[in-house]
Amino acid sequence: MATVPKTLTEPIRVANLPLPPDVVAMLDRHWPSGRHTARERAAVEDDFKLDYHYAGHFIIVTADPPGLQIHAIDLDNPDEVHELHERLRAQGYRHIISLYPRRWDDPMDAIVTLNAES
Amino acid sequence: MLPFYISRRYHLRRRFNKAQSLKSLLARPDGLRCDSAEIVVEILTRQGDTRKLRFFCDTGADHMVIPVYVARSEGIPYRQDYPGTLGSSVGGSVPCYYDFVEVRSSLSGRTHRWVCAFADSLQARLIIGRSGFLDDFAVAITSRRLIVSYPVSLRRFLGHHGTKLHARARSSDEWEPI
Repeated sequence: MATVPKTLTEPIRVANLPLPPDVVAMLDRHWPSGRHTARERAAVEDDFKLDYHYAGHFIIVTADPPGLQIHAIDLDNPDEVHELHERLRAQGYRHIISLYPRRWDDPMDAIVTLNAES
Repeated sequence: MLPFYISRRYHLRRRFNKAQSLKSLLARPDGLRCDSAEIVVEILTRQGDTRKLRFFCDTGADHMVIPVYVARSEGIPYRQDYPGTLGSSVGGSVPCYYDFVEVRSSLSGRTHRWVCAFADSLQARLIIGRSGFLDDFAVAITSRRLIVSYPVSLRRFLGHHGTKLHARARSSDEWEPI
């Protein structure tokens, strides 16, 4: 797991990241094959992979064909983030998204409504 | 005249609450299924460009919430002139700064100016609350999808659907900002 802010020289394809067997079994129980298209299933898997591998990190992804790709991890300098966005746009990426994944199975994350007290 | 709406549809994100007692109560290893509504929103930065961020839609929240650490790394401007406190619905509170954010929407073709609390907490999430969002857009959850709609002219309605038909092979709205 990366802890040092970095822009990746080669993007990571989320589809190639592994999912632990228990998560795969859970997905099979809730989204059995045949009831969803391969594309829908892949989208769900991608989501779980991001949360599993990158919870607690800030990642910059592109969501254009050929699928989700991670281009940077934990960049915290806005100028670097800006520069990366410019570069990705120049490369033709349309959907450049900043994501802050969280553990999907963290029960402490259940109730989040925040409202003004003062 | 009949109202015309253009919409984006977002699948609810799959979520389970895995609290041990919930698993025991339900006698299910996966816990409680509780899918969440999340959408991508395009926010203006101080450099004049935009960042696309995924927000959790929470109709229990009065307004938008962006953690301070996110605003800093993304270059989203906020002032510290209006400090306050955010409280969660079950207790606990965090300091925040209130300000406006500018949201650019391709659905409405406008830039919206919404109140946002910049929460000084590493635990805070990106939240889109009622104020602003529900004033400017029509929102519904149906068939495990969140649908965000905006009223438009007949001309824009036809143009929008013409483009969609033309690009039928394109991906769904999942990563399109509102």
